[in-house]
Amino acid sequence: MTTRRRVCLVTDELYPFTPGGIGRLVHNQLLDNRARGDPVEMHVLVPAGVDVDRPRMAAVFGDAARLHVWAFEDPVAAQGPDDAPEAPASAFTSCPEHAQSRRLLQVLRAMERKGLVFDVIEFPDYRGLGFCSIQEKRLGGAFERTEIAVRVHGTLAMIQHFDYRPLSRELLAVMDLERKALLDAERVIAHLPSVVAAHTRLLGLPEAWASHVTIEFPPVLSEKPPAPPPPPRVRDLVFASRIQEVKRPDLFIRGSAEFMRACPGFKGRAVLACSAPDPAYREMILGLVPPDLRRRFAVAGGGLERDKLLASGIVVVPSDYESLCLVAYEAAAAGGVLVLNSACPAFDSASPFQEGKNCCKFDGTVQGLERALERALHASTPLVSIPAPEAPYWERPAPAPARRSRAPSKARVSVIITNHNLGQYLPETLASVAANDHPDVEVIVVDDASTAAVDRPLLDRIEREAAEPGSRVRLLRNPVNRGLSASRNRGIREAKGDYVLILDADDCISPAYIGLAARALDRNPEFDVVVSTAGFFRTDGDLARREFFDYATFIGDCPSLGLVENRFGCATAVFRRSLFDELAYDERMPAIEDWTLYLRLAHRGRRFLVTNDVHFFYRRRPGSMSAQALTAAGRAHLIDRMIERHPDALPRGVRLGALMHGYPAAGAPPAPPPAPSIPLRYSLADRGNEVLKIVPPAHLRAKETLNGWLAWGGPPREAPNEVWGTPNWIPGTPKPVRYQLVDTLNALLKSKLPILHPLLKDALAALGR
Amino acid sequence: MSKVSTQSAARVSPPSPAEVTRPRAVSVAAPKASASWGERLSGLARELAALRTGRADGGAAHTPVAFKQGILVDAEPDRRWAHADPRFDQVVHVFAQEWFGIRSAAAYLPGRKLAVTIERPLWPVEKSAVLAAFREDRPSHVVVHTYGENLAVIARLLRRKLGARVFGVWHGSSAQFHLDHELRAFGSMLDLRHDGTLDGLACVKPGMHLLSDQIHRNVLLNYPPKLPAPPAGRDLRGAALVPLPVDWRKNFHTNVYAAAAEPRCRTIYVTSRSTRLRQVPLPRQVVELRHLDRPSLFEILRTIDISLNATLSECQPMVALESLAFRVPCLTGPLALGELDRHPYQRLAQVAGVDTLTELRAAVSRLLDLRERSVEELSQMMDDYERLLLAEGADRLGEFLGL
Repeated sequence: MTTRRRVCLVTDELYPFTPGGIGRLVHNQLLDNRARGDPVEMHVLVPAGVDVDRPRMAAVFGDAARLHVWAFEDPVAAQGPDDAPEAPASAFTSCPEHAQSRRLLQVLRAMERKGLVFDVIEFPDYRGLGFCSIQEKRLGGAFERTEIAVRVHGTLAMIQHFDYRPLSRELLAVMDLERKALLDAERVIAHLPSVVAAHTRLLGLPEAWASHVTIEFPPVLSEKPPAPPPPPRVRDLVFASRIQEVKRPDLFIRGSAEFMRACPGFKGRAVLACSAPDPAYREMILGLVPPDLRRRFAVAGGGLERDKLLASGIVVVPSDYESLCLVAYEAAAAGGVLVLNSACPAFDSASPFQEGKNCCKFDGTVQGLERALERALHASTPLVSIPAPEAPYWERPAPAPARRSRAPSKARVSVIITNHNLGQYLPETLASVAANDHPDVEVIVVDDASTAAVDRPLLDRIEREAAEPGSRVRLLRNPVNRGLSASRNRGIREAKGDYVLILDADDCISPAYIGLAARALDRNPEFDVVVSTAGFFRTDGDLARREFFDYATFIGDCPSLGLVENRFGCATAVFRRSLFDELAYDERMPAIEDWTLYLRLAHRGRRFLVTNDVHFFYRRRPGSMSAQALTAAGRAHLIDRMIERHPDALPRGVRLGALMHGYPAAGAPPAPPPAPSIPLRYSLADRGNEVLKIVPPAHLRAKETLNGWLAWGGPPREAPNEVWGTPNWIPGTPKPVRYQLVDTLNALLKSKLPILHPLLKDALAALGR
Repeated sequence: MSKVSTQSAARVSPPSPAEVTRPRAVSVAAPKASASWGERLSGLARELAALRTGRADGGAAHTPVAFKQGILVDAEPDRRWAHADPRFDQVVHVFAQEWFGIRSAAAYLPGRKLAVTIERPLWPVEKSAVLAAFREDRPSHVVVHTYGENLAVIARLLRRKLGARVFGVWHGSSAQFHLDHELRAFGSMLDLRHDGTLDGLACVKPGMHLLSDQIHRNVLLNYPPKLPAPPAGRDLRGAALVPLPVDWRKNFHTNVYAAAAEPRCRTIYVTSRSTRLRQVPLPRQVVELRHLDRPSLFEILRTIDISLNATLSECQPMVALESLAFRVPCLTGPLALGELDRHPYQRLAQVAGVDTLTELRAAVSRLLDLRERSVEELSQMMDDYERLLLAEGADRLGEFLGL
């Protein structure tokens, strides 16, 4: 006996509980499934904001679909698999949609863990909500038995071509998320070939992508329409889309007005029967109506009035972009006359709408619309042959690539660790690599002419180990300091692995990272890089407890946002070794060399996988490259240099507007913030401490005594309201005991001898000078 | 192939705080030809750490900390004081390394022991090591002591890979539900029972079955530690122990002041620090001890006359059971353990008015009177109670597990 396949539609529109065409389509799909005899168990996952609950759902759909609701909340102490904690929602700073996508992954993964395994999960394309789930599936971390699909409705990236909104880094991030979701999904569904062609052209998606899109005509009507009413004596001109730039209400008003002037015999009205989400834009659009024609323009409500207008009017759809346009099908079925913009992908010659047969088309201009309306006025009642909905793809099992092996990878991975005076951290770095259980790993330590005393014996020991028979460790010593890029390139040249992992000598990786990345690259030959979410730590204790004070989250290949912000990945990533046959780290870049490489890779069409869980642990330490003050101006210079030296033409689909959102001009650095002042009492305490350290036992004894005393009756060990730091103390960490002592004495002096306090302070300051 | 052998997993204990803050020497054996690359690289990393810390200028700026051992199979502290009972030889108790009281409770029970860290997720090699440790001598039953993500992972692993039946024991009470983490953890335990991960769920607080029909009706009993022989009775030494943290539920101050009001308590050991208040200073007799690990606690128990654990809410306090093993009477609040409460020893040790100084002081005096009058009589009373408790505890555990 076979069990019914199970499908989950992720949507934030659902008719009749929300407005919007996508919600109507989902509604139709659910009812169509029921009409087809319930071949599939349908589930709908909506956000908590949608005004629907199970009783209301049951009232509309009966048992045709099960409702699930997800809420956006920061998960509490969430833990990913294999020693890789999850980053909290607050870490997703690229855009809120990234965090929402992460949350959706958590919700769906929790359903799967509870045994609710779907055969198909379908996301809409807009806002890239499927991004994290798709990455997780590709990485083999979840949804092993589930096909993850994305349906083309209309991405913000696509709409932006027709409906401009101010570009920002956040919007760029959403667009790149959407692009990734469309590119990386196992299956993409579109309703018409022309819509796929528009995506390929405008978003710069590859032709190979287009050839794999599933074209499937959906159920455009929820029920069999009644016979059309007899044609009315006078037809009104009807705009039933939405007052929004991409829908071109301006074109409707101008074309209708011109038509009224050209055809004085026409006595009908022009009616806008639709919603207007932006009142200011609505006013602007209505202001286009010539004063003398105002009586002939009307705004109607929805519901029955709209249905009546669709059945009796000349329905104009001037939209620049539609992925399907249910209004046109509803009007056609109801008996309306259609006037359609032929430039819109939903109405091209391959669509059911044929010029002269069942509609009048125009070229997207005012004049063209006026002439089309003239033709429509004399047209007979159209008969659009609406295609019957096809059997949805989800009724058929997924093709073989959706079910992949979970066997461990047999590929060799070369771990390239670059070191320059970071030997003191090398043991932990090597230990973190050693904790990985991937079977075939070689470790190449590239020492870039370290000079620190602590490094020498460690490197000598590594050299001896490298000379042992059967050793998997190699040491490459640069005779002179070559810089980070050159050191990495040297390591890569010497690597014998199929994949290379780049790692700095002070950072660590999770025990699962190598195996996970190698398996993911094995399973996904079309991808070349696996980058990880990064967790920032300060001490090894924090790392052992997986307590991160910050995170960095990434999108992977993000060709537009990547021009101004590195959301590709952190410096540590697993690459196919073959990538470096065509590219290398730019040895002229003193920093952001990883960003530079990623940008070049992304613009050459190389694709990245991004782990949701934290597999890379970044040590924040005094003196690290990122901690060293790279001023805004210095950073801007570097980015300028990166863009200026970009070796390739910008690929199609990249948003040039991104360059308007880069860093401030390199020549005009902002004034640096004032240096934090260190209180006098701390300076004195530091000096006293130095003196006491001359006799170490006395120093230790004094410290222990003060510790005991302060623990019983002293001040609190933390002062969170103080934001400045000293070289010896980072705010937020416990204060050194000497600081606590002088704090106590200072407070005592202030309270008991308030007059003496400022005098003493001045005197000590003078003494200090 | 697993890189962590069972033996090494069992042998290596988590670093103590002293180890964490102090550089330590690491002895490294020469790499064996047969060692996996991971073992060999680990050895190199340890050796480099030793080289680094051996230098005066090398380790100063940076203190190495080894990754904490995530699993400890039958670790010495978890076996040393356990009771033996062949009925439970195929039972494995799984518990968190970091939960001190629950670890003690599980450690004294008969059966094998698996201590799991809850401070970080488990590594794949550690999960493999768990399987390797139990593959030869497969457990029939796994008992998970309270909820933790890693504990649930291990429970599922042992059920799926080794076919063990899995049971849960909740070591809390409804009085702790004002704490979000307790409530969430209890809810997660119930989820495990509902989704079939757990074959049974029991508690150590009576009456919890009223919250869900999935909870075993009969309350389980904690065991005292097993000592080679109970200490012989001895004269009073004038010392009391109050091993309580300073919080509202644990009632630290009432216990300390009540002990101080009894003249025979000339020394009162406490394990918590409390802010000194000039008007109501902590009694002069108070001697503050640092956190006591189990061996240190047992050393203290050998030297005191009475311990005080009269808290405002309690399940089955481990201090009372540990005191029982050393034949040191321990005051507690009401425990509601049915027949056991009617034992003469419990009638002396349980106090109703735990937050009333006079009540508590009277109870202290009552126990010290008996001890002064006849230490043998008190010891026999406690012998008898321990026998009863162990027999009843084994019966209830066996009934819960179906053994």
